[in-house]
Amino acid sequence: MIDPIVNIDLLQEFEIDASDIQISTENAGHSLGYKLGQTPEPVREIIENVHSNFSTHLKAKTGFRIFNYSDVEFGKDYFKIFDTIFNTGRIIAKQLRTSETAVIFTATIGPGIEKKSKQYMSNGDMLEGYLWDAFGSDAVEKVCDILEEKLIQVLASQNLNITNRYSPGYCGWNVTEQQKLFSFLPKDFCGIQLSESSLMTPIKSVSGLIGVGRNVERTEYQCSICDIEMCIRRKTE
Amino acid sequence: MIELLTQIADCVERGKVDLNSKYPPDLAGKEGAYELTKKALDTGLKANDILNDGLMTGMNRVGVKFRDGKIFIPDVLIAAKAMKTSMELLKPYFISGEVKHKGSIILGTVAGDLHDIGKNLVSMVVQGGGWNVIDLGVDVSAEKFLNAANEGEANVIGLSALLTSTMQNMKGIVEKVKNEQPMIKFIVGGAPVTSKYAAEIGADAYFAEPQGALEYLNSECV
Ligand code: B12
Repeated sequence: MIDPIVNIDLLQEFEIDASDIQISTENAGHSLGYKLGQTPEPVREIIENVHSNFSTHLKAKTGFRIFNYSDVEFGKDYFKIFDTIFNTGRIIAKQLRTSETAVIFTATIGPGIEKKSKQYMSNGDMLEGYLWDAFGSDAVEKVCDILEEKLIQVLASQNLNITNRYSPGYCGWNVTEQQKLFSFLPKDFCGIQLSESSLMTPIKSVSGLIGVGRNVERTEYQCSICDIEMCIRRKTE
Repeated sequence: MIELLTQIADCVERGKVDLNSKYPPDLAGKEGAYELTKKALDTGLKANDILNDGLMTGMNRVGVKFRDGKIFIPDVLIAAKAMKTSMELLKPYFISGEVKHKGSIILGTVAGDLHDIGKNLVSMVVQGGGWNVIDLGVDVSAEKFLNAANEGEANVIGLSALLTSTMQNMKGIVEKVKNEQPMIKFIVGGAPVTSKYAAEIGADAYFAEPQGALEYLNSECV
């Protein structure tokens, strides 16, 4: 019997509808630092305003490339696609250990939200500008969540599961390794450019890798695997 | 009179910009930092005292609370708006020289990097602390920092970066500027930066947040 995953080599790009980006005011406040239910006015009011006006400024895209089973190899502190070695370090490598193949992904919300934020800031409306920017950060994470759901759908028929997503720049994986990731994607994939200094434009973009296999799983809290104590996204639960 | 300054400080601290600001709710319909500053000027209080004992006192409390994690970025921005709106009334006194900035700082996000929210926050807080900010924007080259330094207005430069990759460009900037202007001080910040890295590249100090930077400016750069 032929192992089904041997045959996967798939590149897909999707546009994400603004209506799929749902972030509650509470969660938005929470990611600014406020305890649930304690986001003060006028912050709440502006967040609500952003939420009811962002859709025309959002151009969200996400996409991925799944590799052939035989083209990917996982090691103690690295993984390899064809001949390219990605030095993830041990923390991430450990999480990918039981994967059989891998998916490279990118996600973005486009430049519109950023532009809106900068407009406010240059008019001296720092709070509005900041809240548009913070929304952009939450929104692109949401696009990544949607990508994971899409992947799960694509892979379900083959009984394949996915790991959590891992990004260069996190947990000891050097941010410059984005250069290698992007070398496996077509130019302008999702409309994202990677600069020489490994910065993506639009700014509100994310790149990364997800492990795929029959015996892998996503876990709720990832922070326990990471050693960056100061991260503001760190969840203590 | 002193009462008025205390009220101004409180309005800045609580982000009560002017009469029209709805928040905080218990101050709705009352005069805000703007009207009180105007009143203070009208009653003959010195612009310098209004700045130091009113506006800056309020803003300083905000900076400390932010550093201690008691309030968050939006709260700082609301307070900064109250401060800034009132500062407009003091502009003529800056122009006449009756009120002076404590000094000037050049700020910029380093070459190869476009992230400016952090830098903007530092800018607001140090301005709130009485400093003039020369903001060079984002993606700023060593050359541009040097040119600004050569203008001679500022004796300190603040650098910001978002990623460990773009942070590497801080080194060349510090080197190039210090080469020609050895007396100029560098403070550095941004999520990937550490005090160890600051020391490695010859920067004078690292701060994780703006209040530390302001305190450093006040003690080392005036
Ligand atoms: C929100 C966020 C995002 C958002 C938006 C980013 C943006 N620029 O808009 C999204 C989800 C898009 C994102 C993407 C990525 N991110 Co990110 N992100 C963050 C996060 C959680 C917060 C950043 C933020 O906006 N903070 C709010 C602002 C106000 O803070 P700040 O800029 O740091 O400024 C404060 C201080 O640093 C200081 N400060 C700043 N400048 C200066 C200057 C001076 C002189 C002084 C004294 C102080 C000072 O004062 C400010 C106020 O306190 C940080 C983690 C963190 N703890 O900071 C990671 C972080 C910045 N991201 C990181 C990474 C790696 C990435 C990605 C490369 C991941 C990937 N492969 O996709 C991408 C890159 C995106 C790109 N365009 O290239 C790393 C960077 C470190 C590194 N390894 O290089 C961080 C630090 C997370 C980590 N690993 O710990 N990210």
